[in-house]
Amino acid sequence: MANTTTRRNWIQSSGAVSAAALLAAAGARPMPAAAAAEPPPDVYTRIGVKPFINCTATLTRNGGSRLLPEVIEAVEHAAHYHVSLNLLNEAAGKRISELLEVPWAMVASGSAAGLAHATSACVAGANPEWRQQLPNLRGMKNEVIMPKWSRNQYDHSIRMVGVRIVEVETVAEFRAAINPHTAMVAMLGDRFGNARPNLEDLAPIANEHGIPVLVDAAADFPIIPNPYLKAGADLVVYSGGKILRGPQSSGILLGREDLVRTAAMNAAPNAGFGRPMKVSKEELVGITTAVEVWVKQRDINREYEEWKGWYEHISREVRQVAGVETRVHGPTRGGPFPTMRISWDRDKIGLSASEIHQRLLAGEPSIMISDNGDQSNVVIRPVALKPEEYKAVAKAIRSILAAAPRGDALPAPSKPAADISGHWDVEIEFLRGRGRHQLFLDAEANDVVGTHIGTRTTGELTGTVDGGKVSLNSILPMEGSRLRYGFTGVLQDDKMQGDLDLNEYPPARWVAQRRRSA
Amino acid sequence: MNTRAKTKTTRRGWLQAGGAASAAALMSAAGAAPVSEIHEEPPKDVYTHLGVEPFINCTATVTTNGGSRTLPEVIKAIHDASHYHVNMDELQEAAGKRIAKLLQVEHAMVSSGAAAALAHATAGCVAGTDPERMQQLPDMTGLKNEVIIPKSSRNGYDYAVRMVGVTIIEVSTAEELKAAINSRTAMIAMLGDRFTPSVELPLKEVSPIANQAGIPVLVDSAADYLMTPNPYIAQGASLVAYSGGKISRGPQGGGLLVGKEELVRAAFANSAHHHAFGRPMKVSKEEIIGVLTAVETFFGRRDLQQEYSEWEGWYDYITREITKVDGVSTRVAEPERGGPFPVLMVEWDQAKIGLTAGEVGDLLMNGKPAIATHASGGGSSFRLRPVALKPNEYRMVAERLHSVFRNAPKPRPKAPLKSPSGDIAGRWDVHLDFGVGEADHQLFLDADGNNVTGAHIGVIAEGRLRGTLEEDTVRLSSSLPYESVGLGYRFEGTLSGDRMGGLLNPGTLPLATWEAKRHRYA
Repeated sequence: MANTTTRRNWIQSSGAVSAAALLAAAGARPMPAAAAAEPPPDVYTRIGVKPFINCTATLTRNGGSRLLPEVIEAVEHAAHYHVSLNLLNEAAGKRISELLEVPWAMVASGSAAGLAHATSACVAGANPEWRQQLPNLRGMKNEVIMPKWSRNQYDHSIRMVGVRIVEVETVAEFRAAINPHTAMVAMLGDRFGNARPNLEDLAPIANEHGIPVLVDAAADFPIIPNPYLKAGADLVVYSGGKILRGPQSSGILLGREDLVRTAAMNAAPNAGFGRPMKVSKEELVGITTAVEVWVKQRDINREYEEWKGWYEHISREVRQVAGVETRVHGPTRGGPFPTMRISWDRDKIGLSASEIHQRLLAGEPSIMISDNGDQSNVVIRPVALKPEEYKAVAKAIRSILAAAPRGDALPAPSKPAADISGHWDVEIEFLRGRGRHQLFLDAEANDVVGTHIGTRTTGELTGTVDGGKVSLNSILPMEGSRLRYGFTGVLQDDKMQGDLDLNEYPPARWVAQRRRSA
Repeated sequence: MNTRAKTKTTRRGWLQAGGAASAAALMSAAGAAPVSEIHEEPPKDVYTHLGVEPFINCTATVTTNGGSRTLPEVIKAIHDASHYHVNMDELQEAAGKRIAKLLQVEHAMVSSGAAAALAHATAGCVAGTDPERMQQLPDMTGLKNEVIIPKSSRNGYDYAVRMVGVTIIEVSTAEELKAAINSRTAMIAMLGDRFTPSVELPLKEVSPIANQAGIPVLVDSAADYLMTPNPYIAQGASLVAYSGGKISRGPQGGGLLVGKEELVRAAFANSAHHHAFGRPMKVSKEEIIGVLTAVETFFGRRDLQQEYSEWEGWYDYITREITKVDGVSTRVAEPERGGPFPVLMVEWDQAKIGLTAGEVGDLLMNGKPAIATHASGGGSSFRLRPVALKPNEYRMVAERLHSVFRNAPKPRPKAPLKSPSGDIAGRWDVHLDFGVGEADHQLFLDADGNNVTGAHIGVIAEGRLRGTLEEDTVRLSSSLPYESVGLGYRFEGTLSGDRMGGLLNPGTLPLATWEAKRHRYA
């Protein structure tokens, strides 16, 4: 694994450099308002929730972005007054569109809401009858075309309007898929990838047919002029609570004025399909402030340099432990900023990524890092880190790695208590609801492969049997999502049962019975 | 309405000392705002630099006017919460537990408003926590797809239930309810009926039938305030939705879903931040902390009876000021559903004061300081609602209202409309261009002098239409009932022989137009 850190020169003098020197060397400007004293974390700790140093950047489940001090102040000011939300929506839309040099913009309660509002605009238009009939699409255009590579779990926000997603893999398939039922073309922002067909392949064809193109650029940052609109997109969605560092539950939908205004008709506070996706006056002011700061004051390249300075420090610290390597990766879609991967030799350091994750979280201060399961690497993402926190991160990771046990081979698993191969009927008891699934298993010694048939979809499974203990993991692809099932339990003769881990959804119980051919 | 309203103002004593009482004395006399409510206000720049002028808000907690007056405790808690990162599942769990304990309910979750709580509750009842079923929404294949709602509970917000993909079944009586329940019934939904005890099919009749059939009952109690024990759960409701940004005075984008643990957890699984149907209804860590703080404050220092008294004190003051103008009267109306607090009805004699409510509303809104009220339309009364008023603002409201009434023009006789220049009666084929989207509708019109009445036939709905024709100027408006709403259309334009057309719903964007041709029977 290449080590890119040695190629940088801004902290060559090394060792004793102060954080301030590091920052200055990295070309970072201290954020004046950021120096303000922090309030106590009591609002969280008194209900037993412990804040953490956040190395996962802008993940929603870890609290979104680090709010700009200007946004925190603007939100607080906004809370003291009453205004007309309609006028404020209009004014914020105008201001954001001027700043970003786009025809028009609206604020949504996150980028997923932006996708939903955009879809309802393309499906129902501004027609009052159609707007009220959603998600029943009788009489309306009801298909949205997506390149297969763009399918992802957020396209549920498009599907929720009632449309069917049509997947295409080539330009020829795209041309063939266009028909009078086509309401919209949707795809992920492709600024960082080289997947095809891309926006430049599809937009001209869509434009020719008068079909609007929506780009989901949630994690991306806005660029002037907008690269997606330039390539022929009609609508683009950005998150407000990620790299823009605005309110966590805000997003921006921008693009063609008639479509954005139609989307706004279907959004809160107006009565309609999007009413539950509520945006407050504080969020409107907060995201507008974030865009103002983004355009007028922030310099993303300088932030990159600052973050790389942090990586230098962390890298130097953790690489003092034998067997540890680091590597800085460039921006990607979903993470338009440099990240650093810390990897280790499992023979020397007997800890999984998951164990590191848990130790960092349990430590003092608590540190949240991505949980990479059984892998031997973790990734540092910088956007939600406060300026001084990188030092604590370096120290904690170094000390955990240094104190790690030698990597011993895991004890060999016990002989399976029974041959698990065969056809199983699985009864699942969810927190609410039941399901009947089937497993077709094929065991070789302790290893299991197989097929998991759900009630709507089918996927593949891998697992192990260790004596009477079973552990089976499957992924069921459904629409843009990959539903993860983790069966653990005990095997006894023709019966298995135990706990079912459903990733982010509430856990369930399962009982499986071997099916005997009659 | 008249029977329920009663005049309370003369019974109050604290203002008898009269005019010269200071604001501070007034407030303490009215048992008013505790010290924590009086604090220095920040500049208004965040709004004014965008060209948006804040106003004194006499419309209480209406969303389009900015929601509730956020409690100072909530503002501070949100500010503090902004500085840290936490795990959202852990935060919802902890806040949910704490709120549930305060409200003495099984479990609670924070949503992005009461409408989102309705959507999550519905998704939880329809799809449960089976990931495949959750993913499939709003496609109802193989799922229970009916929600029963008593007819008297239908309202615009039940779209938040319908959006999940369910069909709404309306019932009016217990017999109809029993007959409507079947294997496809996912849920029964209704409005909180605490203020409408004589409603046709009350919760206390619905719950036993629902509970026996094992069907969850969701109560939409958005505008209501929190009570322990919960009056709806005590009557057998499974889930209750509240707004966080109304009388609870939490964040504007906050709501609450409380009730049976399994159902609240199922709703939460289907909500943001999870990857599920409700993902776009995003609630931030700040909003969760804000709603929690509002609930704590509600059961802590706030005393609603005392607030009622304070507000009635304001009404006394306003009444005394504005009734100095001959023809103006007021009365205090009791709390009601949608506004669980006393309300001041302001009325005037149009024979003495030549202003419509709409004109009064515009004068107040366009004055200095700007004051938002419910005054609109051609009538001569409006409701003044207190919850979003800051402690000292009632004096300014009284002063401005007094001045508007005192300076009102004398009533002018309305100039009669000029005669129509053409014949509008008959059947018209009308093409609507919404800016984005088009449709073909029909109008069946009758004319009597300037007055036009008729029927408006849409594609999926039809309704009554009325309006005027003055010379060649056409003004028609219609309302087409569909589900729980009336779809409103305003046609403005000109008539020219067998054609007419102009702007549709003028004032809205994108620009919409209409073009009608007299129908020719083949």
